[in-house]
Amino acid sequence: MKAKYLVIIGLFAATFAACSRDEESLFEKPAAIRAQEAIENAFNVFTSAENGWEMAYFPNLEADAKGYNMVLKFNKNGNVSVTAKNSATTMNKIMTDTASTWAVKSDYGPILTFDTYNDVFHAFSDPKGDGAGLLGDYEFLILKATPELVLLKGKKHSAYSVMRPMKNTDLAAYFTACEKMQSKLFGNNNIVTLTQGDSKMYLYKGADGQFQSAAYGSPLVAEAATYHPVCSTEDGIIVSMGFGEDIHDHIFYYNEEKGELKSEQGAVMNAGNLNILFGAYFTDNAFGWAVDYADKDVVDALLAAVNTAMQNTSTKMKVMGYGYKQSLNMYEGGYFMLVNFTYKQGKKNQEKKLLWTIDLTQDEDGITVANAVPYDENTETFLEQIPAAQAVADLMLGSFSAASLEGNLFNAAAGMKLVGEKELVVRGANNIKM
Amino acid sequence: MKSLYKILAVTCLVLGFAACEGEQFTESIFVDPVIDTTTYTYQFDKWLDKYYTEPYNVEFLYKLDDNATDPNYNVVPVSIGMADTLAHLALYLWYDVYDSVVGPEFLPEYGPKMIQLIGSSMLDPVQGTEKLGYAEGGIKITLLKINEMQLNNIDNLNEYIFKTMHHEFAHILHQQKNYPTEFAQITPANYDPIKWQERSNKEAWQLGCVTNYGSSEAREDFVEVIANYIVKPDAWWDNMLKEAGIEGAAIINQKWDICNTWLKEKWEIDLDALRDEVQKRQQNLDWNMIMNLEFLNGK
Repeated sequence: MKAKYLVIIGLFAATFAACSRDEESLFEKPAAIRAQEAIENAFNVFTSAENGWEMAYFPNLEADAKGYNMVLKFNKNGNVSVTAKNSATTMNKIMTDTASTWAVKSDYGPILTFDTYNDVFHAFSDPKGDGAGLLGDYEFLILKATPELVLLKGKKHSAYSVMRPMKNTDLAAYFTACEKMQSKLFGNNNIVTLTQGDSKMYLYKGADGQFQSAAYGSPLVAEAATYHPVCSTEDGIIVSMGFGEDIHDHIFYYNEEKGELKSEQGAVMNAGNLNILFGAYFTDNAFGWAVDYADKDVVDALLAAVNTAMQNTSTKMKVMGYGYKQSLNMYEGGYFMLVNFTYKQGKKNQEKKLLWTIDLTQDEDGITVANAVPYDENTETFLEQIPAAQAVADLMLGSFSAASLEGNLFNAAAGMKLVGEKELVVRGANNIKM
Repeated sequence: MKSLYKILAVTCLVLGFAACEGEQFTESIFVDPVIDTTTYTYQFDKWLDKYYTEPYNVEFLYKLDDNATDPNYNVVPVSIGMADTLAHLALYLWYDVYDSVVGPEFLPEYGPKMIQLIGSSMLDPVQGTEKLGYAEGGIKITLLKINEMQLNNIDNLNEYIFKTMHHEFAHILHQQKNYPTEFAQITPANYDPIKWQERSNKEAWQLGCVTNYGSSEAREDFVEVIANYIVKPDAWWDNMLKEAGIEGAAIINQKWDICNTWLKEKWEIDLDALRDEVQKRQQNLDWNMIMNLEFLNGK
């Protein structure tokens, strides 16, 4: 019986204790009111940009994802106009569609929806053909909405997109400026060193609209790469996701004078240490260095000797003139030097490709190229006939320190100087083939 | 004593709820359902209200809400222009047909309460299938691939739009009144919900189904008989029966009889009269007449 009374007393105590009003709410207003205010705020922000919004649009984060520039003008009556120019959806022509609608609605948080079809905008989410298309979204979680910056996340495919108020009122000029920035920053397939706090990493393939990343100082191995869609803008670049833990460090501004891109959080992209970077290029099979020599007289003298030797050793070969191209690259795991002799034999232009393996080492202080050894039978035979040709390969040997060519501080791939006992100039070149 | 416990327990509950009282509700956060005159789509919304919502008690949903779609598929919204065209077309070939043939009270009572438009189809590249529409709970029809309507191609419209309308509406009807169980017993072994798409239409005909999709399962077979009979011309239907062979044609005719009887007895719908009206209108796709609603004769 006592136990029953204790239960009753306990029940009373629990009833009143459970309803104690001493606890203060974390929020000043009820959830529904806060949701409505968030919607109204977002609506006001979207319609506030006088010239519309520049959007760095990232349809998805798949391996082939890229960033795209769009300009959006949100009208208070629910109409939106969208303009874009890209190779994926507009055949590189400026295209505008003004006949669709947008809204901000409540879901799990405020959502920006493009709820009727826009030829320009929905081209990225249209599943035509394979059920997936470019895997774009038409509904976005609004992660941030201020008059200066809007941050969106695709509801279905989860990529982040970034919007800033348009400064340029001339849309044609805007897209041209973005293309120029793209060309300036990534026109030579350059590799960029990202410095973020104490960490560094390489970023490459920016020309494809998508950075691949690799560990600093390591080979650019595709299997180890992660992908970061990138979009060039008038004043720099925007990435869908920042690097490391700063995933919302999206905007990088280009500083022409310093030759670097710097983010709002302080991350910096530039050439970095050129000695280290020079080595990194050798691991990118799509890229090589074409070498030209600062000391033209030395090269000319060597080639003249080679030419003389060629004439003396082959009765069939009557050389009327010559050209010369030397390059460095890595093929199938080793470092190679390729020398192309072009010459006239009779009226025909002829080409001779000679290959040497080389030892290449580099650290932060310098680069050493050593041991140019003929690689194949073709090269060995040629050198037996014309031993002087070896001197052309040996020109490249030595210890050097890399420095930027003037005017190419950001884009090292456009060219750099290798300064040692002799000074070489190397320029980035795609598709050098053995 | 037990009564005392009960009284105490109830008292605790009452006190518990009373102690938690105190929240004050503010005014509603929900938007007034009256059509907003300031919106970009006001004219179209007003038109839809006049020609769909008021007379037929149906909500015409053309602004896409992703939550209302199947998350397993990637889709896009319909364009306003195509939504406008489809809305006119559905009045011409569906709503006004039922008004004329079955009676003006039929669709307001038994028609779908929501029609949703989606711009793209729902493609399943793995299965190799393409969904063109679906009906839910006897109240909602979703029509897909509206952005790709080829307005000058009657075969395209017939296959992808008109047939889908009547197919999905037949679903709405049998979701309200079951179709006869004997229908599913005619060719149960021939239904293949997984690999139906690997059959050609001719193979399906010979199995006694009017389309390969109809050979997927009985309920699809049932509505495919109705939809194809309504929208396909005589030549198509005759050719199907011929290619189906004696056995296949006999099965299809048996299925048609069941559909016809069910529509007549359960819904008082004359299938042939419905078909005649639809066929007559399909052969007169005068877009000016349709977009100006001349077929309503001032209704």
